[in-house]
Amino acid sequence: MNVLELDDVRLDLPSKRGDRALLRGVSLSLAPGEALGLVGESGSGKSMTLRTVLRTEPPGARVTGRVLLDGADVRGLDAAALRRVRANDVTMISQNPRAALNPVLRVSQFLVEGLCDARGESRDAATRRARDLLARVGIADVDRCMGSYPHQLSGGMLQRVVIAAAVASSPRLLLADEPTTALDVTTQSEVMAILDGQRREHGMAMLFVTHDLELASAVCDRIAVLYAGEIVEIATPAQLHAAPRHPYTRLLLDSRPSITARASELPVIPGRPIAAYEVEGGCAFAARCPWAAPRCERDEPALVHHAGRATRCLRSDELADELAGETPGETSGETSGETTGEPVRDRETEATT
Amino acid sequence: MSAETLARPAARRRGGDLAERLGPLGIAAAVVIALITLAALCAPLITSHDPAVGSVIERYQSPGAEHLLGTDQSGRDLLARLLYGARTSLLGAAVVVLLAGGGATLLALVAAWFGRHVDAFLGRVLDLLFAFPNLLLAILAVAVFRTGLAQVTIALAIAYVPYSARVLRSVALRERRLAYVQAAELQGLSGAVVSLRHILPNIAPQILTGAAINFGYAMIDLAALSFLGLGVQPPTADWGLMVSQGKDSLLQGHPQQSMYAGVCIVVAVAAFSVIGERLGGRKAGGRA
Amino acid sequence: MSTTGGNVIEISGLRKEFAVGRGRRRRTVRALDDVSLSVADGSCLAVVGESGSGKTTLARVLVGLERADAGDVVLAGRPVAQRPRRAERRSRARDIQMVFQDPNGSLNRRRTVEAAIREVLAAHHRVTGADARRRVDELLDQVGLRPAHARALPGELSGGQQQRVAIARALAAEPRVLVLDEAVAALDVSVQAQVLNLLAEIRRARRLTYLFITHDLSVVRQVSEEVVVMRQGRIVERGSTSEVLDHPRHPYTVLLRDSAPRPGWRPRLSNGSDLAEVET
Repeated sequence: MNVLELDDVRLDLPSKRGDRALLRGVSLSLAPGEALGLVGESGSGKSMTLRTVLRTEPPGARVTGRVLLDGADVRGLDAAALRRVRANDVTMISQNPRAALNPVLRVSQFLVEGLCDARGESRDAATRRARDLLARVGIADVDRCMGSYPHQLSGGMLQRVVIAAAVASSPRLLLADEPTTALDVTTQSEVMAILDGQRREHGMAMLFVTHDLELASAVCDRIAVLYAGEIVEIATPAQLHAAPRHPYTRLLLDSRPSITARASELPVIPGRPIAAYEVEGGCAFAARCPWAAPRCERDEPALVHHAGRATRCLRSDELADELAGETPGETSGETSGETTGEPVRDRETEATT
Repeated sequence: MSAETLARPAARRRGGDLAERLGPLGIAAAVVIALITLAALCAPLITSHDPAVGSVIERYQSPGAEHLLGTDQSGRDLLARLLYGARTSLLGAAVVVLLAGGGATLLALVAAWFGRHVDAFLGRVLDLLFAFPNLLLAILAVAVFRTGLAQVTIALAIAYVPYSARVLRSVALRERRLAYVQAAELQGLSGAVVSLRHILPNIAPQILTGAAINFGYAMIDLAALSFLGLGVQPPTADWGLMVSQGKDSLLQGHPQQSMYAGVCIVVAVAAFSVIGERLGGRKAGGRA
Repeated sequence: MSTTGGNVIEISGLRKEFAVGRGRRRRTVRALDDVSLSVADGSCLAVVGESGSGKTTLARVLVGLERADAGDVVLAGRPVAQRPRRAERRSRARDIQMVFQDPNGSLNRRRTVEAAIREVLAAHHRVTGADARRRVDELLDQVGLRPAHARALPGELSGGQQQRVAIARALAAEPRVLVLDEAVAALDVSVQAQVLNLLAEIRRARRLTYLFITHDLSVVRQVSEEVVVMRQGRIVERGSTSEVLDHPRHPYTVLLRDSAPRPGWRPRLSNGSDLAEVET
């Protein structure tokens, strides 16, 4: 059975001008021990998807659809059962580790009390285990770390402490919401390595939210690309890089500058990422898509599953070769003038019209 | 084609937004304040009685056709005294709030702009002022100068500065650190221009919120000073003074004067507090 | 890098210390420690580093928002006073402008796009009235916005559009140098590419010199000809961008390069960088 299954999850948030959709039907499944990356730009709904799992969505939000944890719908749990799930089965790591730790407690108090409460261990046993956990997340000076207050530690150290606390109860599912976005790159590399190692060691499944496609590719088994509150493509990192099936995925991969080669001009996606509530029928990406056909603006594409991957694009099959081709930016003039020839200007403003 | 090209074509909101922020209770409070102000302004139209003149023969009259709310111990018309009393009470509080708000804003902008030593020095001065209770400071001023409305309002205004200044300093400091202020600074614009053109409009909501809350407190403090005989001097009509002058009548079984004035003070102060809290509270929890 | 007459920025021996903490824990941090560099006219120098490297302090000293403790800055051939009067600041602003990281915070949320740009036009070129109106439209056009955007408040614009306005405002002073402090870091990937292209186009068209502060080596590769790598207030490596990125010599540059996610990359524990964590 899958650890986690989302079935047509929709989320609407009431606002001054009526309800606003943030998720427009997200479906995904996560096998035990599997890592799934949720990748998207701002407004894509990647964090919101994660928040429906532990029911931490914003107050007032209306959620429909099913969120199954080990087959049981979390949406129907009462407060006590939800607390049990949060304590034992699922843990969450957020972007800001400082918010996760009580500023007036030392690291030792935070870890030891958590262990005593959750597992009923004795203080001595809990202390031993806390020290062991810290050592495993790569903290060299365990004594100093245990005696420190959160404000005395760097962001990278704190995130390690949070990871140590998260894996302490050996949960079956880890929810990670941009856990390294606030960290420096060198620290990000280390924290990700630790997170990845601990996840594998404990056999946890992971839902990993990030805006960084490459980062997700490095630590996830599969990647779901989100746009405007729905999944547009699911595939393995290798499949995504070799042959993306959705135009958005392709352009997202191309528009990120490369560390190894300079493009004379970066291929761009015209316009700005739109939010789910701005979609007006048809394909959500059509307005920004250089391959959009008239029917794309009319017909809403469904997420089509095929050979272990899924794509939400009406023209996915006809475009397969083109999307898998060379990066247009590096071999200039390969694609039509749509993406490279025209100046950036006007396009952003057009797309927002 | 103008609005459609914008990412968030939010309608320019002013009035609608304010009403929403105030909520039903806040709007009711605003209506109450408007009515009180209107009544104070139109006092001569509402009553033909002189609030300062009465005849002893007419003392302690019950409400009737001639005197709608009756008369006080000197036979003066209570309605007229309440209406004209609103003028002194509102005006006094308004002056306190205006002076205190202006002073606090100036201090906050100066502290935020120069930072460091100037900020630290102003902080100490404010701490010093904080050490004196408002009323004590006002009483001190009266002892040094003279009794009278002008003296106590100025003294109270000074006493109120630290409360507003402390809050405003922190919001001004927050704005000061934002990139748009630094962008203006690096154009070589003077501190005064940047502070007034850029920082001031962005801390205006907090200034107004503070003013609304302080207005209520100022009314109470002024009433208390009048009650003690230090502020407004008889025969001028003033709510605080009315409560005070009514206390003898109270013992003689004529509670009207103190009661009416007391109710007026409570209602007005409550209305200002509600507005202040609505403006401030929603601001903190609302959008950036 | 040679310090010939073709340099628009010449910095030598720059030092800056900050006091951090209070009371017993008070200590000084060297934000800039003997930093020297020069930027050739019309080129783009990337300054790359992580938090605490001093790269932002360098930018702020250069534009005059921060005062250095020691060292010299020569801008367009003129030495820059470290405690400038207002007139000097104003003339410096005509040589050098800055674009900040946070697009939302770099615009006054109560003033329209037009007011923001006109303020700079009036301050430096005494352009007002109908001339200013025309100039605003020209500048907006150059950054890919429409005349209609002039009446917008910052809150009505997307992050990318806000950053375009910030660039237009900087260009309004007609500077020779643009300091870009993590100017694309807060933008979405797809919008980031647009702004990077725009910046390249503007540099070509106006023959501007860029000092591009960033933590992102991919951006460095894309925008710059030369790069300096900073760590804890010091420049640890410098050279042409391709040389430094393809054949880094300093271990820290190697670490930075190896930490950047890219196809085929795996996160890994590096030895020695724990040190950096504890120190800062």
